[in-house]
Amino acid sequence: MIRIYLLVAAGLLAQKPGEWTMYHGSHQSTHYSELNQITPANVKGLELGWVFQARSLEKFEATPLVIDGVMYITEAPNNVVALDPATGRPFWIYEHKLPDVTFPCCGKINRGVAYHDGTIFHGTHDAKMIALDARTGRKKWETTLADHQEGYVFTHAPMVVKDKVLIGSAGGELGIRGFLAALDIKTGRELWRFQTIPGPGEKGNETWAGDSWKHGGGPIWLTGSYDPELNLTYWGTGNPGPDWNPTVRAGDNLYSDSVIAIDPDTGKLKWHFQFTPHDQWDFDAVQTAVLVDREWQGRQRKLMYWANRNGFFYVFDRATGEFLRGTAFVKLDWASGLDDKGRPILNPGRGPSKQGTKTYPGVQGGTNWYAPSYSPRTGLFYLTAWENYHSTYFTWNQDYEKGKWYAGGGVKAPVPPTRREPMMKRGTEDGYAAVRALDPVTGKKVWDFPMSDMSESGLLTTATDILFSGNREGHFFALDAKTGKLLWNKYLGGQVIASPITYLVDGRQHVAIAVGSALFTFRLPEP
Amino acid sequence: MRYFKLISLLAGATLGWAQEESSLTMTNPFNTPADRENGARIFLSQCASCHGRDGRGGQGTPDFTTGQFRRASSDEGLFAIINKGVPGTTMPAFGLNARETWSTLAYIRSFSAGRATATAVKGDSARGAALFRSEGCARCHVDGTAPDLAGIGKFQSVGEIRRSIVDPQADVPPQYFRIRATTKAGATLTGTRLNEDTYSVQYRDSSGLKSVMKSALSTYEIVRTSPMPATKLTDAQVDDLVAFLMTGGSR
Repeated sequence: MIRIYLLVAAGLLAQKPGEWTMYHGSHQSTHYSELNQITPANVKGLELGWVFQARSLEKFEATPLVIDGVMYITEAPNNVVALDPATGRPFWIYEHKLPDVTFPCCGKINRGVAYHDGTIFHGTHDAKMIALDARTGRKKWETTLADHQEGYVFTHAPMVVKDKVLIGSAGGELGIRGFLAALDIKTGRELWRFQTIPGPGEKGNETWAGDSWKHGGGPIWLTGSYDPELNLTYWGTGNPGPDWNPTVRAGDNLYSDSVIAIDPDTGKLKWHFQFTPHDQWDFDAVQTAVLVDREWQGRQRKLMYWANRNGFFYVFDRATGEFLRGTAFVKLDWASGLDDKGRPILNPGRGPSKQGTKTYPGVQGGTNWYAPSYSPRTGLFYLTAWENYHSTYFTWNQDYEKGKWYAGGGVKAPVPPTRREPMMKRGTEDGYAAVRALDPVTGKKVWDFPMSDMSESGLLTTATDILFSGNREGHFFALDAKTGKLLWNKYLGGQVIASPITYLVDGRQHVAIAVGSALFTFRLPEP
Repeated sequence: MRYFKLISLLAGATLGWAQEESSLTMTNPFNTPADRENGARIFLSQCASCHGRDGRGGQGTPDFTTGQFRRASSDEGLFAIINKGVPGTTMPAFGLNARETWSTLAYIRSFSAGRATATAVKGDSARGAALFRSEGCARCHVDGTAPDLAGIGKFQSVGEIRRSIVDPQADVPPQYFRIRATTKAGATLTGTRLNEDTYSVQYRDSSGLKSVMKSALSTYEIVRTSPMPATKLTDAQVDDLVAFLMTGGSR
């Protein structure tokens, strides 16, 4: 408890224990909760609380918020629902009317909302930010930030920082030019915009051949993290476009596949680190920036942990962007390692080709956007890993056309990127998922919980050393965070493509997870 | 709705609905060689990333060369899928106009066009039918242990069917993998593997559908070979059998 009060005193914990007030649970994005009612001893007694069935067959990738006794969730693609977190009964549903055709690359999904002082913020597929009155569900304002017909599309939960709400655009497969924008939370007026692909005359534009920067991608499709003391927000950017035809965009292609540290007051770039310069595989750096204050080689430092889609786990000093260490966490063969500055040392002949090149990891990466977790109790970093997984990468020439797919190649893999059916025909020889615990000091694996199929589930750890996760098979389960031992498992029969949260209702701990097209909650029996 | 209007316009202006009185589905109005060529260009840029340049599928996507589509069969149904996407999957809606969509569909259909007649069927179907009975093929292929061969000629080529008879181990699809396991109590389990996850295995043996927890097993193995024996038939007899299967019947 002392730790909680210290964090509150430091202004780092922006929520009451028992609430889940922002997408990542906290600005540090550790996906760790101080709640402690559910323990390794009683977790077997978890019972179904309620189920919210979305009126949508789209993938349910949203993570709910729970604030002041109300849960806010999105129903794909762009409905917002306020409901009672004790019973699951909706208070109101806001229905956003979309144009007939919008261009999310990979499903009409949405990952959630942001909240501040009685207002809900939501990004839509037609590139609008809308602000809703949390009490009534009525729209307060709406701002269009880009042309959805060019492939701009908002899929991630916005992030509130002080008096601004921040959002970025997806569209890396449609030749967009990515950006992060900040709006006034009261009026919706745009206050600044950071282009992830620098234009002519701007630093970094020289890393793009010719006019290739114009459709260079660098999308943002996951909520960032924030350090109030440093006054910096951290965002991961996606792939350069076209994905698999790198020959038309010679150069490093800044700031694609990077973490960018942005001053929330001005939108200015403080520092950046590019994980995969001149990407040839679609290794978006769209993962969670996990902020941890901890000793590094004898000195207390403000660290950032980052498990990247390219298969490396990175440690940075988040004040300066200094690269401290990078280690492979899954089988990979596109690079032989990282140099002293963290730049990958490429293996020859691993990029896409006309006849196809088989490379590890496959296109979905060693991990992806679903949340990792860090527990200050165990000191371990947890992630969902795709192990022993490859794709065959193809390249071809294609011209840019507005609103059209602009990938310049393709991918074949025995493992599908997502799967509705509860059938697994293949064996594990082409890859499997594992919940993996790493020692972030060394990057070495501490324990592994291997599964038969893949998993796109995020993770949650608690103060009782429980780790919650799900998987594509349709299971939701609890592991011992110290050992990886299975404590509890429930088959829910749909794929999990979201991250679990935990919260209190009337003093009773709940756990919620999206499975299939529904949101499930579990809790201990009433005492 | 925008596309519905376009379809209606096109239908009314130039084409008319399909001939069958009971059918309200529309057939592809843009199906000329020039349309298919245009469709090929669109397919490469818009579809091939996931469906493969060869149309054989990429990552869990269907094999268009079979001519069998999972979620629609009519031109109109396939048109709707290209334009609306498939909920819950990674198949998105595409920003193609109606003509581009029809052209793309024309090209997609061409992957399987003329499939059954691509290679002349040399054998004699009646002699093949007799062989199918006398060689005991039906024992497994009709009882469900082995692939159902009814109508196989619609989605496999002569060459593929021939290879399956001559070299049954060449390409065993995962849905016909088998299991071999030992329980902790010492019993041996064998059967056709139907499904599996981290905790359990579903399979079928001669007595029916079974499910077993992996925690109850001491050994578990996926058998990826086919139980089908290598054929002792002559080349001419294989041709007869292929002719029988290509022309439809295995029952």
